Amino acid sequence: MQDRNGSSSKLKVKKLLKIKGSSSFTAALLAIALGLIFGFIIMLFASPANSLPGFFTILTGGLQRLDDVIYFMVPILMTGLAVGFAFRMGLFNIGASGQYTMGMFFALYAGFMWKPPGNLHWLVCILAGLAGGMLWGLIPGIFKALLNVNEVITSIMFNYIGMYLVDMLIQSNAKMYVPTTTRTAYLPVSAQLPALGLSNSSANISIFFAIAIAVLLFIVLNHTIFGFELKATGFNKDASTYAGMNGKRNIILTMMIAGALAGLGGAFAILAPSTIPGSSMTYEPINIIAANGFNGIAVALLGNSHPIGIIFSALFISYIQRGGTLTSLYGYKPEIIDVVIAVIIYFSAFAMIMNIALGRFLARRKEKSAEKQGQEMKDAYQEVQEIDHVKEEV
Amino acid sequence: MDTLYYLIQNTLPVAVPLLLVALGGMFSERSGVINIALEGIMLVGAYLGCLFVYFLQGMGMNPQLLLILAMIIAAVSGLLFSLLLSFAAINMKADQTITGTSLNMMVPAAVLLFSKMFFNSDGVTTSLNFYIRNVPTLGSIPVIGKMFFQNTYITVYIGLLLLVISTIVLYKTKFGLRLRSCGEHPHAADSVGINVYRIRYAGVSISGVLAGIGGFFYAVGIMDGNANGHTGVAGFGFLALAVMIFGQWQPIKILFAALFFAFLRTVAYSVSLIPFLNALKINQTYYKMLPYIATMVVLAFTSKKSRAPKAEGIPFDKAQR
Repeated sequence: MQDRNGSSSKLKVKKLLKIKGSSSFTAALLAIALGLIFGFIIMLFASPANSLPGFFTILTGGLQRLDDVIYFMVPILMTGLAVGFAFRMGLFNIGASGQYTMGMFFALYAGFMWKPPGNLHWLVCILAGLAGGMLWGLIPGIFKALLNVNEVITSIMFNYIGMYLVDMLIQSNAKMYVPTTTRTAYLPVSAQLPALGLSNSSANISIFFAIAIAVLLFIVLNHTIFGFELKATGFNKDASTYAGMNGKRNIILTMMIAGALAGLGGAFAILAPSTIPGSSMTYEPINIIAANGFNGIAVALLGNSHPIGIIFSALFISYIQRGGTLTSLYGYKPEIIDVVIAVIIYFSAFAMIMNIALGRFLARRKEKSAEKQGQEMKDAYQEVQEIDHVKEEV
Repeated sequence: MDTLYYLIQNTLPVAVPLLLVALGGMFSERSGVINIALEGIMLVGAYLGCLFVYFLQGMGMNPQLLLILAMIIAAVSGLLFSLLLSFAAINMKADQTITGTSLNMMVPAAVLLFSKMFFNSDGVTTSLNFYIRNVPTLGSIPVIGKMFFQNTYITVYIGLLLLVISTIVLYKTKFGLRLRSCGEHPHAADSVGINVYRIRYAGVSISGVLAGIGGFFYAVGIMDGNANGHTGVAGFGFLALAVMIFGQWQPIKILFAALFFAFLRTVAYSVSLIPFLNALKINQTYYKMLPYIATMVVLAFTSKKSRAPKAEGIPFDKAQR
């Protein structure tokens, strides 16, 4: 009996490893599980009595605030796409944070300074945000393509330059900045994104834009020449150059698109009409790098840099973030989720290897237990059958 | 002349963290592992070092002795934290940039979490003064005494000592030669019986020690003995990476690169004290951006003929040829 169970589960593991998509999916699940376990250990350490209800809140708290989950999901979905898209080409766009801030600033600027006729002011603001992010992605792209400077260092430097620049430009603009509140005024209503019309909810139209953009990126990556070249360069830079692809142009183009995506994220975040005070429509220059850019890295990695995967990973990250905010009821701080996210990224960097190792380990253990019962022959026979079975299925 | 003295006195405590952390990055990269987690390791060292000082400051210990003890704490904690990077990068053959980024994200969040839960603040604030107004006898040497032995911190001298030790270790010892060979051609090193994994662990661990110390020295020399999770170490870990690249992965050149960046930063933060710059009436934020912009300019000119270790960033796999 036991033997039969063993071989069937072995078959499952083999099947899982055979299908590449599901293998990266289980890898992501493994990373998430390890991240959550780590978070639980920290909670246990920090305040043992509250750890169980606190952890339960992280897992289920998001359910009570699904509209907030959607609202906070949009910016990290966009920065996740910005990181993931560049990643497909082998570029690590750690500068999503600066691009996001730039997009935010351009959108704010358009919101306060321009008054286009008609009621499409908010659309103009979104496009301004796109342009701002694109500009801040273009620079590391040029540095990488033409001057061979590592994009990681460049985009980190431009995170800081962008942050200082934006804070300075906002503080020196009398029309935007209100010194008494140390933040900008609230954006005019014409510049705000249309809400979804749910009562007392922050969810707005940008979620549809974001998902549409993700689908568009999926099409670009899988059904266009540019997407093919981009992936080819990501797999093997030299081979793609040898095949006649213009690597330099593609690097600059990729970084521009990535920047534009992050910039859109900034625009969507700042232009959203929100019921949560201070979370949008106004910006406070406090010399801090935007966290959403870095959360985008987590989103991209968890989604395996796949545009559709990124939609779900953004949903998940936003979901546990909401749960994390609610743990303050039990004396924890929302930063617990930032720790959990960092741990998830750490593990997702080698989750694929762990996944394979786990599969091997399970298979080997099953083999050993079978050996103990002295049924090697039967096992080997069944293995042959299994292989045939898999072959048939494939 | 007083302005010059002031600038030199203030540049050195800023240059030392940059120097140490860049040296740390150098050891790691020369062994073949890209250490982008320097920023996070610095904050670990800074926070735990300051925490140590915080708990012992009331015991009436000599401040300089306490500083050295806290430095050891910072070094050990930096080492332990860097093991996370070693494990992922060397054993699990993970992407080193991603792992480093995750560690960088983990530290400020953890610092904020624990400070908010246990101190109800963003970080730890110490009230001890590590400042040395005048080093006995040496401080009274004309000119030089005023430049290097007045209004300073003991960190400056420790930093220079560690620079000398690092240079000797890298160029004059068996270990240094092995370390460099693992960063250039690990398979060749492996073929003559060097344990590449162990050497790389050593390289990353040294970088953890130096970055931990550098982080604590940042907290002492720049933040007045405080560390918090919001500002962290203000991108010094990343600047140190730029210093290392600018210094072409060589200790002495790294020293000059660190001095250059530290000088720019000191100027940026003391514009109001320099009559010439103050008269220009330029927004001070431009000066704050200066070190980062300078990094970009410098990298644009040095990256084409970069002398980076050849095998950096590539996980070592014995089976690969």
